[in-house]
Amino acid sequence: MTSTTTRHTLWAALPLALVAVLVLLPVAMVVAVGWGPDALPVLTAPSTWRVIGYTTFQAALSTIGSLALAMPAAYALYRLRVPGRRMWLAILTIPFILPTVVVGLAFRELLPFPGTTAAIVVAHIFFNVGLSIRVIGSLWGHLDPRLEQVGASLGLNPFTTFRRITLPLLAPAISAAAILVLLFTFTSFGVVLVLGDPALPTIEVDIYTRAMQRLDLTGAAVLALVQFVIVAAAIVVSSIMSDRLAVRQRLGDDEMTRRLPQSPIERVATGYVVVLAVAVAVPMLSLVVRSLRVSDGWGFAWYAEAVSPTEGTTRSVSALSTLTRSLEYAGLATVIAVFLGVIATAGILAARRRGRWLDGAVMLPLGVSAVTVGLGLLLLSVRGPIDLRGWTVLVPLGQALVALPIVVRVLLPVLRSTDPRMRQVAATLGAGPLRAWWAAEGPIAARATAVGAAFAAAVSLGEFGATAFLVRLETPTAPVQIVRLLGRPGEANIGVATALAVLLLLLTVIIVSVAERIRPRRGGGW
Amino acid sequence: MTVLEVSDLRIDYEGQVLLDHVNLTVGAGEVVALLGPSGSGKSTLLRCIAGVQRPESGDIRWEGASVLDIPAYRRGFGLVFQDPLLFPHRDVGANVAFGMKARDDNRVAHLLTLVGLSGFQRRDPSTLSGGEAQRVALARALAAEPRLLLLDEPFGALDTDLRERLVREVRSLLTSAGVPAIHVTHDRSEADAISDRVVTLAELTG
Amino acid sequence: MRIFTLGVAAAALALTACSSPNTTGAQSSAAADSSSSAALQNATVRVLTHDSFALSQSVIDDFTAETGIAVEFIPAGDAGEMVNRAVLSVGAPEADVLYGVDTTLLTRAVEAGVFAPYTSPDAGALRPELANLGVGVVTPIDDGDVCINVDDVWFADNGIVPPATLDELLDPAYRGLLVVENPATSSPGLAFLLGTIARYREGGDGVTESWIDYWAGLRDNDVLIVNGWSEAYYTEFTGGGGGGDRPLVVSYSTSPPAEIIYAEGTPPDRPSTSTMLDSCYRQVEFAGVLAGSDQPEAAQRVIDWLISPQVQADVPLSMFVFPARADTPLPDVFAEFVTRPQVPLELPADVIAAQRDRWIEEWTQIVLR
Repeated sequence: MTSTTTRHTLWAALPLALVAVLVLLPVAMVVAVGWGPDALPVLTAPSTWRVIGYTTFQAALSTIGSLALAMPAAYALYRLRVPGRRMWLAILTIPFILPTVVVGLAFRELLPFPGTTAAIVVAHIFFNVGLSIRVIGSLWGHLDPRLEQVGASLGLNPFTTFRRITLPLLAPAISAAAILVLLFTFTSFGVVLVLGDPALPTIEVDIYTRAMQRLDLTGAAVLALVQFVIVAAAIVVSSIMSDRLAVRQRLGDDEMTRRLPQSPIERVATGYVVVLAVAVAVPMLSLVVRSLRVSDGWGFAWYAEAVSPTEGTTRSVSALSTLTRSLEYAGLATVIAVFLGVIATAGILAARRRGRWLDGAVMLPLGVSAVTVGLGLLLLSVRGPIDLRGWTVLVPLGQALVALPIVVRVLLPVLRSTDPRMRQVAATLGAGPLRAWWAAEGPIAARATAVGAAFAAAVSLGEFGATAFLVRLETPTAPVQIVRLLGRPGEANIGVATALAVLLLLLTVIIVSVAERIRPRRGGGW
Repeated sequence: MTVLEVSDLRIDYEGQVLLDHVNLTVGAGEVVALLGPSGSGKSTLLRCIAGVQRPESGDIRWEGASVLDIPAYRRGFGLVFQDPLLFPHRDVGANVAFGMKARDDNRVAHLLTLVGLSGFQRRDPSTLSGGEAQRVALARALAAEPRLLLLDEPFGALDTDLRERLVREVRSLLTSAGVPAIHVTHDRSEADAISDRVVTLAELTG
Repeated sequence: MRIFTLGVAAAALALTACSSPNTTGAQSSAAADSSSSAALQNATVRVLTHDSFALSQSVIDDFTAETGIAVEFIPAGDAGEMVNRAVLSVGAPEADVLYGVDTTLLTRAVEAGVFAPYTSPDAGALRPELANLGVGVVTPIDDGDVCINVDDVWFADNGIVPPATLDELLDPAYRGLLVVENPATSSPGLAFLLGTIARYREGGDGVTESWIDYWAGLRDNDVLIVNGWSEAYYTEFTGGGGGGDRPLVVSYSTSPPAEIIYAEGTPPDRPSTSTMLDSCYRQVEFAGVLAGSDQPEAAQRVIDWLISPQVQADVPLSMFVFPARADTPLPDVFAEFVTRPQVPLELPADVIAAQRDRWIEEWTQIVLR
């Protein structure tokens, strides 16, 4: 028994080490460059603290806005029987998986106030309101409605009932949603770069401009470290807080607790869902409309221009070619992410309790942000021992590291929840261990892997944070090309950018709908 | 003297008529047991009286005045479910005090003593046994000083010994408090033991 | 990849063969010599440049026809971003030539080893004040002046005498009239800041103690800060056509002729704006061969070409800058409406390299508080 365990450990150690090295190396590189006496001038500069303060400010506003707008919708969608519920939920969740630069562009063209904090906050709410609804609603739907009826029978009016009973019971979900949205908006990059005020950078944007425009790799690494420390602190605080807020409660079946809207408030909440879904759909539709608006009316001129650009004195990259390249890169990134993700998941499950550190390590790219991954891989080449510049796989590798946490989050709960008894039944029927495993878990594992692959593909396709640091000038991806086009003056550049953004949006939506279709309906997770 | 009067009530469930032509009266200080098999609509009737659900037609009057348009939280009818449904984020004392206008620790202590749980104030609801939790729920309902107590099979989930003991205790509690009550159950002996009058659902709709 | 490049070069050659042959008489000797070299015939030289780059297509085609060298211009953002890319890819360059590094960034790029040293045989033809700036590594191609532009019509309509010096901008009479670009986000904004530092660094001429005090004075006189040149010129400037209400803007000395060239309908006889010569800061743009290029010889030919008479003559109206070559004739609008400052404000490249970030930080502290 012991020898078998040892052999298994050895067998598993090598690929696991590979995963760990790939994930940890970029981060280690950032630490190596950012940690030292050079950090002091950056840390003591007032501008650094202004950037940190502004990042926190916009993230806090975005989080409050997302939660406030999500609450009534979570109530309606998870407590009431709303006609077309699945459709509304799907519409509200789509933004979360859209490429950030596409969303940034959509709002830049839609809002009368681009380049402001308000614009960033609106886009962040657009991104995260669906996520907030799902996180809060998934608990709300399981709250026993009779608790509120008890409140009413004790003489509490609906408002007091909500404040003294519902809200405290929802607190764990609200704080979970809050910390997620806070992390996402704190480390948001593409949206802020496209939509923000250049004189008011966030930490992510400042890391980028320092590294890619101001020849200050050290400063960039210091800021990446600062961000990492803040994110880590936020996660620690939130886990302490969620322990405090945790309520031991028996949860009901959410299908059972939903009922038809009756009271005026319930009808208003139902109507609100429709309004919110429309509000979320508007930026996406307006982007499509914008891409068809040409100087003399309507047409496909920008799409034509995207396919074969007119020649100028500077070399024009065909927008379509960037889309093809994005697809190639995304394909490669998906293969890498799934390969690493399967190894990591197997390792986490095999190591049981000790797998927690690996779980944490794999989640690292989520915490340190895509920009840090990109910066780390860049530093590895410029200041570190391994020169990866110009290597075709560099960009897909960065994208794969960003997508890895999602692959693991999809695989882990599904495989963890496979019933061991199914395996035992298969074994007693005479199948060998491997065949037993396959008979029991094969189909579900295959489906979960396919879902993970689809999400990895969607993430890689729209990935901008890491890619922006790694991509070569002559081989831009579609999101990078969109940002480049926006940096140049002229109506044609914006037109082609919108056309490219629409194509990217469609591809992403298609990939994610496929993932939703094949997704196994159990085990939770993402 | 009649305090509660339910007349010609019709209740639907998912478009189907569940109960029709229901008539029921409760006198001052009277404990009425409502007997009927599971799924016959007893609980739904109780929920309509409590005000958390609205009947299709008919009327519910308290001391002669209709309460149909009065929301549940202003009717002053206490409701105790089969599950204790204690608020999990509050300790036992806070649960009992939940419906009080202002928290009165002496009354909380008194009520807990009344249900045989003196000194339980600081306990977490999740550490209570089923019987203890149900007694806290009862104390909580009484603390809000209801005009009428609606008990929806409150002992249904408990084992027989405990149930018999609790039935006796609650009966004496209701008598001493002088609160009229409707007690829903599917158990004939429990109905007999706890009430002044036993009615069946069939009789009500007849 | 190699085959692909060859294909592109062949296609480019075929295209130029069909188009009408060039008629320009003057040909640089270096370019003429190299056309015989078989190795250069199929070369495609990639030129890393900033987004504001422009050159007439016919000039590029002529070069390819003469030498067989195809030229590809790759825009890489603004000048700072472009130099940054070059520094990050030292040793593995993304192109063969870099065009458009200016004095504010030159030292950083040279110190990072971005360039392979090269002195063009034609360097002697450059204007004497530019000739020794590249020091055997890079070659000056053009220069320009960042100046405060004045909407003369506005001042005439309001019966106010326009300011003539930087000092006068602190006069309460000019309160709320100036719009300036943020030096952290804009190249002319940085040039103007460097100009004020050049003027007031040593205590200036007695009006202010230091450049910091000067900017505090501008701030107290209600200077408006915007992020980029377009916003400043087209939105806030009264003379930019965007309905702005600030008659003084930081722009280029060539903005007045540009106003005439780009006028819709019949161009006006003379521009409605002029430049304030006292405020002008000189920016020189250089080109150099990128270290690590696998075709250095062809890249050197491109540098020679960039200071050839054809390119130099094309530069003023393509990019609104002044040619570096001494004997280049200027277009009429330049000769007529642009005055070059006798003594422009300037700072040494190595001082800029050492202090730039600190200055921007200090400026932000003073002005954006």
